[in-house]
Amino acid sequence: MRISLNHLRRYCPALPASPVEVRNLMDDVGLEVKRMEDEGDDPAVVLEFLANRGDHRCYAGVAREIAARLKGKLLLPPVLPLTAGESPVRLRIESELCLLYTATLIEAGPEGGTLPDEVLHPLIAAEMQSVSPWVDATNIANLELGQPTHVFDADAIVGGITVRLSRQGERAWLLFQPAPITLDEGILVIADDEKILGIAGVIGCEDSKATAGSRRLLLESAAFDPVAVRKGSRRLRVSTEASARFERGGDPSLPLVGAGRVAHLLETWAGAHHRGVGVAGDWRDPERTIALRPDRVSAYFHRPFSATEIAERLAGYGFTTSGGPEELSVRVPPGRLWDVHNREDLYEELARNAGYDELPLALPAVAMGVQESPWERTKKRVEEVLLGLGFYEVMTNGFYSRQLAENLGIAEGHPLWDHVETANALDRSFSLLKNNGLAQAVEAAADNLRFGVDEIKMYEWTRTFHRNPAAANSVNDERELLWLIATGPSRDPSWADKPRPVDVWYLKGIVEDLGTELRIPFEVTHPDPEAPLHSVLHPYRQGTIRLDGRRVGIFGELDPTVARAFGIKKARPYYFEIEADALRHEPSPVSFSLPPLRPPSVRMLAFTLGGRVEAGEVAGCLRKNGPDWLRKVSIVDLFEHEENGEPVRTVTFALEYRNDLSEHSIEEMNAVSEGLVRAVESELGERGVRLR
Amino acid sequence: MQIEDIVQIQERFRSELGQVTDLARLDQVRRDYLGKNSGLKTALKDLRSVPEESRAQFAKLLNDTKASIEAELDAVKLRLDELSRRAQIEAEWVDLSMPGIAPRRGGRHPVTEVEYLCLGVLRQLGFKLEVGPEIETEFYNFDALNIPAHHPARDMQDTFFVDGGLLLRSHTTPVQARTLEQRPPLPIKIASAGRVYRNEAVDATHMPMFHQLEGFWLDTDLTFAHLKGILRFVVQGLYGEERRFRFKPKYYPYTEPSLGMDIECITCRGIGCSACHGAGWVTIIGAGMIHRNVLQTFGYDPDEVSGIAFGWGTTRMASQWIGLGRIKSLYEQDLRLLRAIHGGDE
Repeated sequence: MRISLNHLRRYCPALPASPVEVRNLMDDVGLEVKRMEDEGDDPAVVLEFLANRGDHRCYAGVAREIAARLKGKLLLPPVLPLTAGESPVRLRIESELCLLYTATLIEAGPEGGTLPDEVLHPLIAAEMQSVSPWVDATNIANLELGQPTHVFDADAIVGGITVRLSRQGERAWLLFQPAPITLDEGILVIADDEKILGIAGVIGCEDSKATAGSRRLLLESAAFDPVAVRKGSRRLRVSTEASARFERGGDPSLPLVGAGRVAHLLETWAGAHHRGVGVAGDWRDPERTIALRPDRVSAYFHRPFSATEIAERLAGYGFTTSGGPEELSVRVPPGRLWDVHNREDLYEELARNAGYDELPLALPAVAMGVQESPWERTKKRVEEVLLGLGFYEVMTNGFYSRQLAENLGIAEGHPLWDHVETANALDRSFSLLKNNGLAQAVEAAADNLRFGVDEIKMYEWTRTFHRNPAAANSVNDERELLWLIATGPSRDPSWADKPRPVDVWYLKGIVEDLGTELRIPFEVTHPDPEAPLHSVLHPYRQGTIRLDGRRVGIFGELDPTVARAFGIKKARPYYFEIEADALRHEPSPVSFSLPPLRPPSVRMLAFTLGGRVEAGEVAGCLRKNGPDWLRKVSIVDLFEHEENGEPVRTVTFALEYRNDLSEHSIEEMNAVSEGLVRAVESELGERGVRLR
Repeated sequence: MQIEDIVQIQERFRSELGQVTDLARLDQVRRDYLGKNSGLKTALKDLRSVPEESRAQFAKLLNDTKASIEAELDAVKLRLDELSRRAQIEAEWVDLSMPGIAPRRGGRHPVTEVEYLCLGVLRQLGFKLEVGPEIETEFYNFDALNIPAHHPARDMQDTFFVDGGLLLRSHTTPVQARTLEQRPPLPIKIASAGRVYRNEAVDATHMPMFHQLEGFWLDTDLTFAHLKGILRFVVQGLYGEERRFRFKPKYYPYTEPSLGMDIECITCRGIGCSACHGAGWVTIIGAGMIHRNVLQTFGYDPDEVSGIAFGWGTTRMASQWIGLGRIKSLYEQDLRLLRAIHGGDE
């Protein structure tokens, strides 16, 4: 709401002269200043109101707040005193959601008239359009006092007025709409004997609106249940100044005051006269009182508050108090019934009045701090591994579009097909809750590649959502996982050498690194067709991460078809993910053997492997057939070449013999090595393995 | 061999030694004059053939000559070693303007950096981290937090609803509700952090998902003064003791009284700039005393137990920290930006 400071000063003469001081003061009393606008001699402030303070949404409300702080006067505009009498129209309330309804008949004078600029000032400051004296007067009264009112053309009303709930199939032609609409059942409406005149507290209708030519006007001023107004506004998707006020709780004592202000404006400036006021509804002030003990208030704020001081401070907001120094009974004014219910609400009034910054600070006794939890420490250790390898953490949304999911090339029945879905997303990009980390990881890689970033290493801790009717919430499980994606050189390229590109062994190395760092015995096994991501990774260039035999992760090269679907043509992204729960696994006890006293004796054996015999099979054969003093078998070289026109691989194994006490002779070691060669050729020779 | 021959050997040695310029040649000279086939070695082997009366004198001359040659060879070796070292060092000049080649370290996301910093401060006060689901029920996200259906406060947090009437949590406060439901012993000091979701139109400063962090403390005698004191501790822990701050009234349905905490604008230091809309202050924390309705929902007596709650957007804090007005950039996985933030060369 945009408020003129000059106009505000009429209500609150104590308002500081300096706009900067006004701004600080407003911030300090809970009137959020969105911005100051220096309009020459009419500076203005744009305010954003707290959601519970409907009473702030007018000059009187803002002025009351400031005047109470400054202990200054609150001056309200003149109001024609209206008293209920014979109603100019039959009034009936059929729903308890209407607390009070008043109808005042106003007749235009023969001369007519317009509201002068001085009177229109709050309307102009609020950047609202001037429509007609009738409508302008209602808008001004709302801006000034916070009581929404509405004028009907009285001659358009058939029979009497009833406040009731809408019925099935009922239609209404809302103001500013091109055509009538059918209302949902159960919306609080104002109706005559034939049609709907307006949605209670929200908006009027075209077929009963007052125009500049209207001569007889029926002025509505009422109080409605906030939730009823809110429901009407939401269901029709119509939000107005009136609905904003009523939704936050109107002042049920204000309807006649608001109507009186409108009548005053129209009688004073537009030559109109009021001809009777009808009132329906039996709202009575519940006279809510709250007990307040000064000693408790003092303890709460760590500074003394006497009963007198409390009473004085609360009086500025319209609260009245009774009782003695030990305990006060505080009566809540009608305009604050919606937001002041208990003593903490009054504490806030006192704090606001005293100034939050003026109240003492204290730190409660703290015995000692706490350490990071084991999981927090584990996460940081995992991150240290990844950071050391040059990975950057990224953060993706919890959802994605159907298109992104479709890029994975999955069909119905695939484990990744089913998603938890958002029901009301404003954007289709947010339609599916993610059930995997890969789609967004690849999208992120593709985006970076488009920007010419060809060295990509990213990771994220995220959650995926999986339908599960047996889950605690009957809808889904959430799984926390770590994913990473990499493509390009495995380490920073430099002028000194050309690093090897990221590949499946690089990711396998990360699994091993994490296992070493956390002392968790991860195992890398062959691709598992049951893994949900199996089909979107290269069928051979992928591995399964297992822990205690259970699949806990997967890694591998993105399937080229999927990569193309994401617009990746040349790069070959590698993806890795592991369940966070697997990283929470209890670390293995520290277990190691002392290093040999003497350098080990090493023998190199190079085997040529045909077909798809894995080096691991050969290494396993060597270990199995070696003596217990064969300490280690390592793969130290791979040579890919051709023999007889067929591609073959020659893998060199280093056999490390422990020989601390020189108990084994060179001849013995050579004999063992020769025996191992025979064992390998015997077990794997038929599959094309032979010593090179 | 005669004495004159020995003298000649020594003279030839000196002549050749004078021409030595490298260690290899020096080794050759050493072998030539001290090796097993050298004249001196031969003379020593033939010492018995020298007449007895002059043998001692001859032997002494041989030993002296050998010692002299060894000393001169050693001296030249020292000199050549030194020259060689100098030459090696000279040859090992490097161009330090070439870029370093140690593997570059990656970096945590700025939001995580901020989160870790915040949790570090809260840990000093005894707050432990708790987590909760991102898909929540209306009860934990709204109802239990004193935000009933059709309350205007629900507008403050436009919500993503998902299947089964559930929703994506719009704040991290449901963790508070879930914790209180468990009724752990007092005092309860919990921090929660993570993703939250708002169904808003996306622009430079509004995202459908961002990060929050909050803490709450439940005990028997917590007061408004304690709330302010804790917030001062947190803010000074995060921004330093020199940073000016202020409190102002706010409204949150789950706290009463509620407050906002502003700090002097990081960009303009309180003068007023576009980042702070000219105010000189930016709001960083929302806080308050836990509302009695929340306490009563979980069976606590507000006359016996009070609570403090506070929270802030770690996304917003991170963007303020690094001076990034466009929050959206933090969620675009742009490695160029992340490297630049971490001082890389992008």
